[in-house]
Parts: sequence; structure tokens; C-alpha cells
Amino acid sequence: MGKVIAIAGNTVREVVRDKVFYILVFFAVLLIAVSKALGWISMEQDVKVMKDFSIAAINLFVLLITIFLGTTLVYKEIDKRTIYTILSKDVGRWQFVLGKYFGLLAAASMCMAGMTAVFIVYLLVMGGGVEASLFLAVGGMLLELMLITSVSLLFSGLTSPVLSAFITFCFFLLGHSVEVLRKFVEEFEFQGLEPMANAIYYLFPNLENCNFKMYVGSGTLPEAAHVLWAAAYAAGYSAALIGITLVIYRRKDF
Amino acid sequence: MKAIEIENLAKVYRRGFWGTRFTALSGLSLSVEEGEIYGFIGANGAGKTTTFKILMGIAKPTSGSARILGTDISARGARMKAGYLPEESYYYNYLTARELLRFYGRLQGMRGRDVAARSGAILESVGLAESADARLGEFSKGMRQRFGIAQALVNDPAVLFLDEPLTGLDPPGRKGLRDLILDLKRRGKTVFFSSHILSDAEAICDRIAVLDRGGLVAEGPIGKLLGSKVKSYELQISGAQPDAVKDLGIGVGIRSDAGIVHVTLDGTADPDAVIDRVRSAGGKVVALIPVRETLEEFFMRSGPSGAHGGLGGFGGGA
Ligand SMILES: Nc1ncnc2c1ncn2[C@@H]1O[C@H](COP(=O)(O)OP(=O)(O)OP(=O)(O)O)[C@@H](O)[C@H]1O
Ligand SMILES: [Mg+2]
Repeated sequence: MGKVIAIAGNTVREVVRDKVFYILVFFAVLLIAVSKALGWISMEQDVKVMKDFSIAAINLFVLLITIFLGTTLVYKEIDKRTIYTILSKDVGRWQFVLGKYFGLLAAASMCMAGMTAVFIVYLLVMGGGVEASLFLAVGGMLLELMLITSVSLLFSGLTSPVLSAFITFCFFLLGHSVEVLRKFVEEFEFQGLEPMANAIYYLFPNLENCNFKMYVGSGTLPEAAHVLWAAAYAAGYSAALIGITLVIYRRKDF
Repeated sequence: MKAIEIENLAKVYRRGFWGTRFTALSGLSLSVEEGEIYGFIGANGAGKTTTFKILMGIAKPTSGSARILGTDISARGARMKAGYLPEESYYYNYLTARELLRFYGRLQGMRGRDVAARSGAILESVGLAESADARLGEFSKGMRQRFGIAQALVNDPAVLFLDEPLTGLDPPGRKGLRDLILDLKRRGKTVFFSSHILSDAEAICDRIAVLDRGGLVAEGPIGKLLGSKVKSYELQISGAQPDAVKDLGIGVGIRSDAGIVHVTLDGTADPDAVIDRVRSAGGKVVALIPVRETLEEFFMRSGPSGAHGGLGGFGGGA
């Protein structure tokens, strides 16, 4: 376990010392700040609109950062052959995979935490209130991060960064629409399409499970069971993908 | 116990879109004793790096097996007492030499404190003491190579695997590394290193293996592989004109340089008789140098370009 932590720590350090990371965080913060300056949101308008907008912005940027990191970092290890220096030590391949996974997740979460902190300060300055549903929404994003990170990790060892980023993004898009897609096919009774819709439904992660953004400002909270189910779902799905990644890495020549 | 044992190791790569099979190693067997410096010699593409990658768990063998200090390479812990310098050294650019050593030490199961205690001395031994806190991204190629050796030493390994360790080093660096390798041997370590620079192998190896297209073509102590037979002599004469020496008819390749006439004698010539003739003609012999076969020539003879049966006489080497 110490070695997994060492590899994860090294991954976080790589991210923290990379300029690209700060540029993305900077843009997210800028977007939130500018949204007001441009008059997209005025205080007479709802604080809720501002919250929605900011949370959506954080979600989008965290997603971009996660896809960017997940698809480039492992690829870089292989491409630059730094992976040789790791695997030649007394390190199992599973330790490498888990170390990378938790490192990426930690880096993405740190970045999300940073943006959230900026957002909350901004919100308080603008006279808005902070409620529990906000943290729940951020927690939901964390679950989504777990899933997206495991997808990007799986593909980053298989193909080029551009292709794996594209695939991960497809997972993201499909993941948010599987529910709608299946309902749509059911509703309109597209006969032949139903098996396919079902296959997509079960193959791709249902990211809407982890979406708690609609509770922000609504004054209500979801049931605990619902939240727990989402967490278990995200953990289980990620674990399955990491399992597949492990099997691939076990046999792989570098 | 043997430091390294390789048995019938084979590696078939699949290349290109159709996965055409390419045999990089075929039935390689060799063993290295503890405390030996073992040179792994071969031309470009012979399969040296492939062998290292398999031993280090980076690539999987297609068939065959290998053990490091008695532990099978597929087992956990096989590389706990090993150190490895990859052929082309790339390290994390954003870390300093000291931070990286700490990271690699932890991967070998060491405690951060123990690595910190060793890292100063290790960096010193490869000539990087002054760059200990510089980021690897700012290192020159030779400095990266030196760092590569430092990280291979981090866990005080019993067996070192160095893939072309001398490549990219300046002359003092090469000398320093040769001394370091000899020093490791004195401390009872085993060093397995690859090279195509033969004078390096000649200078420090106890034994060498010559690899050609994935198979061993010769193996053994250098002296035994090269034999002690004198191939030719170089005779240097002063106080004589080149034409006069030529008239003596003692050898070929006569040239004059700063008053000294150089003559190449055949290996079968009788040096005593030649010296007598030079003296009687009024010349003075200043030097007589026997020329033995170099590893270079041996290599050319047994390597890919000399593959036309050039191995005769070395059958007993393996
Ligand atoms: N990943 C790979 N896929 C396909 N072929 C490979 C791969 N790696 C190496 N080879 C081939 O295997 C052969 C041996 O390569 P290897 O790198 O082991 O040679 P080498 O002896 O280290 O050469 P050099 O002195 O140039 O470093 C070469 O013909 C090479 O093209
Ligand atoms: Mg090589």
C-alpha cells in the first residue's frame, strides 16, 4: 500500500507542478467571475442562477481537467519510458495502476475543491447563502470523477491521448443520456432498437445517477438511500473498469 | 547461488498492423556468478535491451525462464535486490534529483529517512553532488545518464543491470563509471552490463557473452575468447632511412614519422632475427610491440558481418 501511495503522491506532484493545470483552474475561476461582469447574471436575478451557472462551470472544467490528466499522464509514462523505472523496481503492475488511479483522482479532487472554495467565497461576498445541497452537488461530481477517471485510465494505456480523450468524452456524453435514450426508445416503441438501447444502458455508466445539481436552491434534499446507491454505483462501476485495466496491464509489454 | 540465470529465453514481438511475428530472442541461456562483472555484447538490434526488459519485468518472455539471485523474475520480490539503468534515461522532469531518489527508494520498500541518508553519498559517487536539488528537466543528457546510475544504486542492490551505461558520458564520466563498477565488484556486487563499445568491456569484464540476432554466439572469459596468440608486431626503428629499412625486407606497412620508422611484422616472424638484421644495418630498435586480437576484431569476426563461419576456434568458449 505504501508503494501505491508513493506512486499516487508522485502523480499529484506532477500535476501540481504543471502549468496547464493552473491555466485550466484559472479559466474556471475567470468564467465564474466574468459571468457577472458580462451581466449574464445580475444580483436582482436569482442567486440560484448564479449557483447553477457556477456549479455547471466547475463541473465542466473539472471534467476537462480529469480527461486531460487521465489521458495524458499514463500515456506520458509509457511514451517517455518513465514507467520502466517504476516497473523495474519491486512494484507490481496493480500497484502502478492503483497508484495512478488514486493520484489522478486526488489531483482532480484537489482542483475541484480549489474551484469550489473560490466559488463559495465569491458567493458569500455577493451575499448568497451556502446550503447543504451545494456540497451534495459537489459530492456528486466527485462520484462522476471516479467514473470518468477509471474510463480515461483504461483507455490511456491502450491508445493515443487524443483518441482516449475522445472516447472518454463519449462516455461522458452517453453517460448523461443513457436514461433519456432508453426512455425515448421505449416510449416510441422503436422495435429493433430496444436491445441496442438496453446494451448502451448497461454498458455505459449512468452518470445522471450522480447528478445532484437539481437540488441546489430547491430547498429539498434527496433521500439518503438514493445518495448511497449513487455512491455504491460509482464505486462498483469504477472498480469493474479498474479490474479490466489491471487485466490488460498484467499482460502488457512496455 | 547464481546472481543471474537465464534459461532458454525467447521473445517474439508482433509488429505492424497484421501482427507479423518477429523473433528478437531465441533460446538465450546464460548464467552470471555472484561478484562478477559480465559484459553483454551485441550489435544494434541483437536483443540486449529486450533481455534487460524481460529480466526487469517490463516485457513478458514468450517462453523460457530467468532467475535473479534464485528468485524467478515473475515472482514478487525478484527485483528487490536489483538495480536497473534503462537504455535511454528519461525521468520525471518536475522533480529534483533528491526527490526522485526518495521516490525510487520508496518503490523499493525503503523508508524515506533511509533514502535521505544515502542519497547524498550516491549522488556524490556519480558526480552529481552539486545538482542534487536541481530538477531533472534541467539536466543534460550525460547528467541524466549519471542520475540513472544513481537511481539504480538507491537500494544498495546486490545485482546491477546496466543497459549501455557508458553511452553519452564524457571521458571523465566514462572513467568514473568504470571505476565505480570496479568498486562495486570489490564490494561483492554483481554487474551485468551491455555495450557495443568493446574496449570498455575489455577493460573491466570478467566474462562476456556475444549476442547476435537473439542468440549467443560466444561466451566466456575475454582472455579465452581472444586467445593469447600474437597477430602481428609493430617495430619502431631510429637512425635508419625508410628506403634502407624497406631493402631489408623484414615487413610491410613501412612509414616514417619524426625520424622513427614504423614496420609491421607478420605474427609468425622471429623478432630476434629481425632485430639482429636491423642492428647490423646500423639501425636502432626503439620499440617492439606485439599486437593481439582485440575484442573489436573478434566481434567483427563473430558478429553479424562476420557471420560466414567466422566462429571457428571459439567453440570451447561457451
Ligand atoms: N516493442 C517491439 N516491437 C517489435 N520489435 C521490437 C520491439 N522492441 C524491439 N524490437 C526488435 O527486437 C530486436 C532487438 O531489439 P533490442 O532493443 O533488444 O536490441 P539491442 O541489442 O538493445 O540494440 P541496440 O544496441 O541498438 O540498443 C530489434 O530488431 C528490434 O527492432
Ligand atoms: Mg539496446
